[in-house]
Amino acid sequence: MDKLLNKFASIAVNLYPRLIQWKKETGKKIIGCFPMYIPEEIIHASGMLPITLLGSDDELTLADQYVHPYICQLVRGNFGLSLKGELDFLDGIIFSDFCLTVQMISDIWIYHKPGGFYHQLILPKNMSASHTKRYILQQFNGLKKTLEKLSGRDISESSLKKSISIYNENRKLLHRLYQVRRANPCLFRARDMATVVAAGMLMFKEEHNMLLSELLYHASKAIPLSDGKVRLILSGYLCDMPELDVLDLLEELGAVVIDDDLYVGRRYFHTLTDESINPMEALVERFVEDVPCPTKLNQKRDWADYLSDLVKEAKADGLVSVALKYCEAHQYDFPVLDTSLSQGGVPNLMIESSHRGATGQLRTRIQAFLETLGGRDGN
Amino acid sequence: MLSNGFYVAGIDMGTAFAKVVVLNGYGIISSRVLPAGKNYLETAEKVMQAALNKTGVNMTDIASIVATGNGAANVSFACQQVSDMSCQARWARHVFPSTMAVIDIGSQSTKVIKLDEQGRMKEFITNEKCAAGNGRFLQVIAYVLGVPLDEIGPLSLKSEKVVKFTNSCAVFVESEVISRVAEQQKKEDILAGVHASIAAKVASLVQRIRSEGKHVLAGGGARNIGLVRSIKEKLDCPLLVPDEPQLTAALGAAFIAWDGLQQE
Repeated sequence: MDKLLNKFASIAVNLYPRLIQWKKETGKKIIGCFPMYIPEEIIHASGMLPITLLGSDDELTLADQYVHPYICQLVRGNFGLSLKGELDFLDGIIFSDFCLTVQMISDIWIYHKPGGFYHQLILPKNMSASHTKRYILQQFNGLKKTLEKLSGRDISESSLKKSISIYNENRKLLHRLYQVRRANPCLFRARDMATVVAAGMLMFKEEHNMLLSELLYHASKAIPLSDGKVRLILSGYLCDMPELDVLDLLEELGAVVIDDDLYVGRRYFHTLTDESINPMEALVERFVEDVPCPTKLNQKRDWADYLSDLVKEAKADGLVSVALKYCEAHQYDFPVLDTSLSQGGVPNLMIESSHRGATGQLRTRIQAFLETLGGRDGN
Repeated sequence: MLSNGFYVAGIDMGTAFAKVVVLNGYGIISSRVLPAGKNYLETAEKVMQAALNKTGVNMTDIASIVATGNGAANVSFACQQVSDMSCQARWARHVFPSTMAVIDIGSQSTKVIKLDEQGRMKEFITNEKCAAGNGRFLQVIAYVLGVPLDEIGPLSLKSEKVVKFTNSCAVFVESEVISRVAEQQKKEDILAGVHASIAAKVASLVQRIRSEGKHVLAGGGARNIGLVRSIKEKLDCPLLVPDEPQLTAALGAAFIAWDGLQQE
């Protein structure tokens, strides 16, 4: 199983050199998608490979010449890679406007890297207005038309249905893997889970499904490990790769992550697409009904309720929520989330991550939080 | 249950100072504070030896040692590591049983630790954003003004016209202080302004964590009488100040070491 996990990790960490090689061998086109809500199934149905642009941890990027210092590492990292030419292998990039930073960066990006293929998917914030779904459908149809032009291939209803089915299969496999993790949490390190999910964002789902099936086969046979650790739900990193050092730190201090609400985690695969209705409409439904998100308004479920339920279902001791530094959408939600969770009896710790390694102060805060949950001290 | 004759120790490896308290069932045997060097383990060994010096107690006589503070992980001779928040809570519970929160002004960070009715740590908050609420900031300002650290508190009490600082970044405030010095502003007025600025940050932490009731001040910052007065002015709640606030985390760590032996 370790060998398999290493394979996922090498795909997730290696990022682009592997894809450049893959493109040479297969001759297929690759489309880079900004997280979080691009309907990848449409790209997949056009025969092109959708990958998620997860940024870079490079501290010094060329991006600093063109953007102000208070933007998040995801956008800064992606833009920096592009300026360095490391994304030149992509046949197109799809932006979305889920936050102000991503909305603004698309124009700056296109201005400084002209000539590429770009599409801006402008999605609504309000999930419950009478025209919401109609508008999203228009946007998705526009994306479909653009992709048909780029790939030179019509996207038929049946091919889209097939892609949706492959994506759903991927989500179901990940659901099963997460069930195994809940039952036997010490089997996986949190970084393993993140790289398992991230690998799927960088390869065809058919191939990922095969790897996942193999992993599930081994994982379900593994002997349950007893732990005596503080059981945590990890929430946050809403559109970026979690910082692996921080995940390691949680474990080093005596916690085990038993489930999560991470983008590179449950948030990515939680919601299935309805296969019984028109496929384009089903993708719209998925977008509207997806897990609660601070960039969406008037969703049916409240985020704090969703998280409380997750904590209760998984029988977790507490929740750690990590916001990417300068992520306004997420941090505006922190006070109300903190109040609602605390009132609901869910102990929680809200921290900020800048993808610059785990500091001593962060260590102390996590350690003290775990101690309040009955961890290692004698208090 | 152990006899009272057993020795335990708490060691608090802060970023500015290393502190040790040795105690047994009858009380505190010895305590020591040394400036933190560049090597945590070396400093830890040094401060431990200094604390044991002339007590007749040897390292091998100590049944349990708990380490806390930023450098706790480096204290290889400790039996257990505990966060300084838990140590402060444990100390406060013992020394001021009726207190509901501890305000800890350390060199590296300022924290407010909220306690429950039983005196256990319930919640905490730290000034994760900025260094301008920390003890280290005071050290920098004292250096800039050429005033020994121990004298800045009493000197600031002489102020008749507090200088206002608007910057929230410690490094920028440092240059602001240099500008005020160049403008011939009095040192005591500048110091009173710096204290007021830290006190405002402490009060904001107290508001954010919504702690009520009796608060107790701890950490090296609480040795500064000027800062203590500023904080008292900003807070609406009663504030207690111990005699040796710098030792509170080490003392709490020693209590936790003692508790651990009792449970065994």
